[in-house]
Amino acid sequence: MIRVFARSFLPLTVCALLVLAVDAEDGHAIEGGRFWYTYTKGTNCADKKQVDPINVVFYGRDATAGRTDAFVDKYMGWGDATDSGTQGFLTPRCRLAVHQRADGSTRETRNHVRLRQRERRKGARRHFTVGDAHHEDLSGRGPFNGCGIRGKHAVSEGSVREPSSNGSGFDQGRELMANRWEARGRRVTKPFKGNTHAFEQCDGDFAGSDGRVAYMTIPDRR
Amino acid sequence: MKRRRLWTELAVPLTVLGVVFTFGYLALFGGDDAETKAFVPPEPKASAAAKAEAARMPACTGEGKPTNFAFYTLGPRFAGVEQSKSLRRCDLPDMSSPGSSMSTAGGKRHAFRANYASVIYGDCEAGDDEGCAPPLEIQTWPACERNAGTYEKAKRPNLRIRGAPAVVFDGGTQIEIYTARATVVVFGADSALTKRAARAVARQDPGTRFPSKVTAAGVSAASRQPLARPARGAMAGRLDCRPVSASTSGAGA
Repeated sequence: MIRVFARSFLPLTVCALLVLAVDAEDGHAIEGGRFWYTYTKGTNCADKKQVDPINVVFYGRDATAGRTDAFVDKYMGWGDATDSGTQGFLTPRCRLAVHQRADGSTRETRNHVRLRQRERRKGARRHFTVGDAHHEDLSGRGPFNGCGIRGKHAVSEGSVREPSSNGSGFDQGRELMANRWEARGRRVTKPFKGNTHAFEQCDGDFAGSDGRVAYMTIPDRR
Repeated sequence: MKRRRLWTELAVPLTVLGVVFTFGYLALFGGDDAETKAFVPPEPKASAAAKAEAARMPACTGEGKPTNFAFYTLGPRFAGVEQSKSLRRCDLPDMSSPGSSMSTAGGKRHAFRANYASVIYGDCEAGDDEGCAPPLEIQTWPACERNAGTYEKAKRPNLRIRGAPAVVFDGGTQIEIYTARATVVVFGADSALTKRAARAVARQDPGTRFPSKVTAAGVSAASRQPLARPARGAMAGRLDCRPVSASTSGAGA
């Protein structure tokens, strides 16, 4: 009896478990806290050097960074912004963002996202590209503030002084992308990941995410 | 006489210089283009479920006003680092689209917002388009709005902080403590500092102004008290948001 089970059912059970394991590699299965932040360039993604919360994940069979970048251009109309400062992403190795998109130049208030593709697990059917969407103000132009004479980009805080469902600049960037993706008929979900650590900006504000990450699909190649 | 003549002669050039400087400064630095690409939220299409959930959320209390939930602090300084900022964040609930419904371990949530009181310790230097993480941050959320069951898969406690269950994230640089009707989230620069801070948090009762001037002695006494066990349903994400009345606010909130 045991021999019969071992010969017929055991291989089937192992196969079924393998299929389930591959299926678990969907967008929501990415876990592990340090992954949910970006890191200062050149720091090997050390703990103390977190910069932005990661708040958008694009996934699909062909959701490579290059294709995601093209879809951000298509759906959002954002231009190339690779002249902006880059940051490190845990993919799970520490890798710099290669693609960046924004709807303004480095000298303007704008919406901006850095993108980096995660390394695909062997046998996984989907690609994942993650990003740090945010709305940033060209802040504090003048000699008497932390943003310097020419001004620097700062993400807005979203404190109780200005209650708004828009939240912080990070939440605004994420919502803008999620709304456009939804308007194009793409599937969007926003699970809670808890990456709410606040980050000090050059204007003295502390900006953080509300902890949700928008998962958005990238259509398959035809 | 001579001095008066000198002032009269200088008055016109000084005024002109002042006007030129003011206009020049405004032209160079005063332009505020922050509103040019402001985010425009979509038309609200809130479902009845979302509206009902949002109605149960506690009211937002302003900065400098008494809070309607207990918050936690480390006092004026901790581990040689001064308190540098306090931040009260309370958004309007997001319930504007079907995508804003959220799968949690406690079931589907249709309305969500950030609602916390945060105390920040230490400073760091932010760059252009590059924020920086302060050494320590203590966020307190009402447990009905953030708890172990808010995550898609309920987080299992893997640590106890003064008797209360806690979950360690990020290799120890984030610890969430679930106590009474509050979730205390400690973010630290490294795991040792984070754990030390988590063990030292001191409770401030609901009704205390946020931010409040808490003395080091007061914090020291409060941080030796055991932390209450989480309210029923808080760990599974099934704690209902209900306004905390004055009679129950003392121990339960």
